[in-house]
Amino acid sequence: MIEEMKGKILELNDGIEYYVLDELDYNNKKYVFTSPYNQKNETIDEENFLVVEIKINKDKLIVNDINDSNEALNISNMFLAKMAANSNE
Amino acid sequence: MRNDTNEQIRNLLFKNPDSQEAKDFMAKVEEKIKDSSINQTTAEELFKNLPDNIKNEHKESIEEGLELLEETVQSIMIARGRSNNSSNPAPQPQQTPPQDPIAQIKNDNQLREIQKIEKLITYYNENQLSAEEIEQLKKEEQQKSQQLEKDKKLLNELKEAAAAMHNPINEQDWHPALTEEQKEDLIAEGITPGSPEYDIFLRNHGIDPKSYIGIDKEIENKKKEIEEQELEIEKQIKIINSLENLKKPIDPRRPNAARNITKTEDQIKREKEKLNQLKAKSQRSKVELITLENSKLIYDPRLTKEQKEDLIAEGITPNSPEYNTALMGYGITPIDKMKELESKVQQEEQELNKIQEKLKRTTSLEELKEIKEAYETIKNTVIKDVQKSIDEEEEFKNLSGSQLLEKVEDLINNNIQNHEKANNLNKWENSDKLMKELKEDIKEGIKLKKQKKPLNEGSNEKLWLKGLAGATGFIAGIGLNMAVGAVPLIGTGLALYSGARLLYNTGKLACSITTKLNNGQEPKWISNIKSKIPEKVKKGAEAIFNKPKNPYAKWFVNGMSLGYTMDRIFNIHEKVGNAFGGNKTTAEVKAPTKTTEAETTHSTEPTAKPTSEQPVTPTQNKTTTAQNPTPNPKSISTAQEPTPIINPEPVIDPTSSFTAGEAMDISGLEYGYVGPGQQAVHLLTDRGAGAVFDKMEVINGQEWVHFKQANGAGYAWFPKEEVEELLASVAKRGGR
Repeated sequence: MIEEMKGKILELNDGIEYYVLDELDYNNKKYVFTSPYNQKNETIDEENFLVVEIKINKDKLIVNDINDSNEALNISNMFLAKMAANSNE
Repeated sequence: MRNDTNEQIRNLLFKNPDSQEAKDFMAKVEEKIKDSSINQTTAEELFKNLPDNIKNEHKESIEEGLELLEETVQSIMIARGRSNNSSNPAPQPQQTPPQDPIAQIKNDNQLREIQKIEKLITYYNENQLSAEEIEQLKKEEQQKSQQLEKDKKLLNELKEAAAAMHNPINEQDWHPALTEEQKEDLIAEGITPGSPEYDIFLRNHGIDPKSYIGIDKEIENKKKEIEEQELEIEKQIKIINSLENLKKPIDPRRPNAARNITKTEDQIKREKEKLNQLKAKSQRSKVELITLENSKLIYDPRLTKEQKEDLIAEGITPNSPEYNTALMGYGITPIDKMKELESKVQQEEQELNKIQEKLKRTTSLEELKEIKEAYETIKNTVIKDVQKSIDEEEEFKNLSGSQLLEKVEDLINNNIQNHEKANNLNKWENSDKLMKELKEDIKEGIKLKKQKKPLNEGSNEKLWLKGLAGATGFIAGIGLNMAVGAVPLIGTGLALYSGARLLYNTGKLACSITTKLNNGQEPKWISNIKSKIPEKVKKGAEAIFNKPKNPYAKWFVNGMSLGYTMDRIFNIHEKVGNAFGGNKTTAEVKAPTKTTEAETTHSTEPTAKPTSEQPVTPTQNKTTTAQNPTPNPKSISTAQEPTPIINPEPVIDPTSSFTAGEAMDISGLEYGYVGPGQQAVHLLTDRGAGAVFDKMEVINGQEWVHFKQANGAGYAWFPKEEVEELLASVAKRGGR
C-alpha cells in the first residue's frame, strides 16, 4: 500500500524534487500529477506538469512512465476533470 | 517526388531532421497521406490542396489547422535562431533570413499588444543575462565608450585640419608687411587677398599693394629670371669658346702675334670669371624658386611654426615620404588616416550599440513587467468599480441601450485616466493600441445588466473552469494526434501540428520524469518524501488549481507534452466563456434541467452525479440494468456491455428530460461539440458507450446537453435533439 502523496514533495534519487499536486488511484495503480519544485525559492513550476505512475519495485518506490498512450490520456483527463471539479466546488 | 516532399516537410518542421523522432513522425504523416490520397508539395499545401468537397465540409478546421501549422513553423524558426545550430542547416523552401526574435514578436500582426508584451517578458526571462555577464558587459561598455569618445575627438581634429588645408587662402597670399593681428582682423572681416577691400586696407595701413605681387607671380618671375640667366650662361660660354679659337700657333712672320695671344688669354680668364658668376647667380635663383614653390605647399595646420620651419629646413615637404612619419614624431595623426579612423569609429559605435542593447534588455524586462502589471491592475480595478456603479447606482439603472453604453464607456475612460498606474501604459511603444485593447478587455469583463445565476455567477476563473470542464470532454473525445487521425484529412494537418509541437517541446525541455539512469537500466526512485510543506508552497499549489497562469502550460505524460491540449483548453475556455457570459447579455441562459424522481420513469436509483472524489471509478456512474423495472430505451449498459439495447420496447419520448448521472450509450454520435454552439469535433465514439449525462444548458433557445465519460472525465456537448433522435433511432432498431 502506497501512502498518500498529495501535497507532499517527492525527492528523487538524482536530487530533483516534484510537488504532488494531486493523486489518483485507478485500476490498482497510483498516479500522481506533479510539478517541478524549486527548494531554494520554495516555488512550484506553474508551467510544466508531469503525470506519472508511482509503484513499488524491489522495495523501492519508483516513478514510472505510463507506457500505454490510451492509459496516459485517460489518466491525464481524469486529473483535468478533478482539477475542474475541485475548483468548481 | 514523394520523398522530396517528405524531406521538405521534415526539414521545415524539425530542428533535427535526422532524429528518430522526426523519422517516426514522418512515417505517420506518410501513412495518413497514403490514406487520404493527398498529393501535396509542401507542408502548407498539404492543406491547400485538399479536395474542394473536403475543404467545404471542414472549412473551419482546415483554416485553424493552417494557422496552427504556421504558428508551429514560426516557433521552430525562433528556436533555430536561438540555438545557433549552424552545423545542420536545413534547406528551407523559402530562403528567409532568420529574424531577430524580439523584432519578430513586435512585428507579429496576429498578436494583440498585451500578448506581445507577455511574449517579450517570456523571451527576456528565458534569455536573461546573469549578474556576472551584466557586470562584464558594463565594463566593456565603459571601455568602449571611452575609446569611442577618444577616437571621435581625434576624428574631429582631423576633419578640422583637413578643412583648414582646403582653405583657398594661402599664407603666402598675404602681403608680408601685414602683421598677424592685421591678418586676423581681415579674416574676421571676411576680407581676403585679391579683393578691392584688401588693397584699401593695405593702403590705409601705409602698405603699397603693388609692393608685393603674390607668391604665384613671384614664382613665375623667378622662372623667367632663371631662363634669362640660362641664356646668358650659354652666351657667355660661346664668348669663351670664340676666344679660345683665337689662341692659334704664333706666326713667325707676324711680330705682334705673341703679344696678342697673351691678351686673349687674359680676356678668356675674365670671361670665365663672369661665367662662373652667372652660374652661381642662376643656382641661387633655382634655390629661391624651390623655396618659393615649397612655401606654397600646405603643411598640416596642427604643426607649430617652429615644427614647420624645422621640416622645411630638413627639406621635408607634405609630398615627401617622410612627412607622415615626421608628423607622428610630433604626436600628430596624419590626415591620411581619417578614413581609417572613420571606419574604426563606426565599428566601435556598432559594438557599443550591441552591448547597450543587451544591457537594455534588463531594463526592458522590468519595464515590460510594469506595463503588464499596470494593464492587469487597471483592468481588474476598473471592471470592479464600473460594475459596482452599474449594479448599484441609480443613474445607471435608469439607462438603457446606447445611453447606457455611452455612460459606461465614459466611466471606463475616466477610471482608466485617473488610475495611478495609467502612465505606465505609455511606456509601451504602441501605447494607443494597448489602451484600446485594455478598454476592449474591460468591456468584455463588464455585465451591463445583472444576470441570472448560476452560469454568470462568479469570477472569470469560474468561467474558465467551465470551459475547462467542457474541454475535458473534447480532450477525451479527440485526444491527441492518435485521435485526430479518426478524421484522416483533418487529422493529418492537426497531427502535423501537434506532432511538431510535441517533438519541439520534448526536445527543448526533455521533461520525461523517468529519464533512465545507468544506461537505461535503472529507473529513478523516490529517495525521500517530504510532508512538511512551506505555507507559501501550499498556497501556490492551490493557485494552480484555480487557474494556470500560462495557457500554454506544458503538461507531460510519458515525456510527451500535452501543451497543445492545454492550449486548446484555453482557447475553448475563451469561446465557452464568451458564449456563457461576458457581455453577451442576449443569450438566454438557465440552469441545467433537473427532472424530479416522479418524472423519471426509467430510474429506480437516486441520481449520483460524479464528484471530484469519485471520478475514476466507472462503476460509480449510475447505470440502468436488467433489474430496472421500467428500463428507459435511452439508457443502456455501460462499459461492460456497451452496445446491446436492453429494452426492446419501442417507447420514444423525444420531449423527455435527461437525469443527471444517468448513463447512456451515445456512441452512435460521431460528432460532438467542445461547448454549446462551438465547433464540432470528431469523437472517439467508443467512449460514448456508457456516457453519463451531466447537465443541460440553453443558449439562444437551443438546448445543449453535456455528457461525461464512464470514468468521470468529460466527453462532449450535443444539441439535445440530436441525442434524443439517436436514442429514439436505437430504440426503434432495438424494437424490431
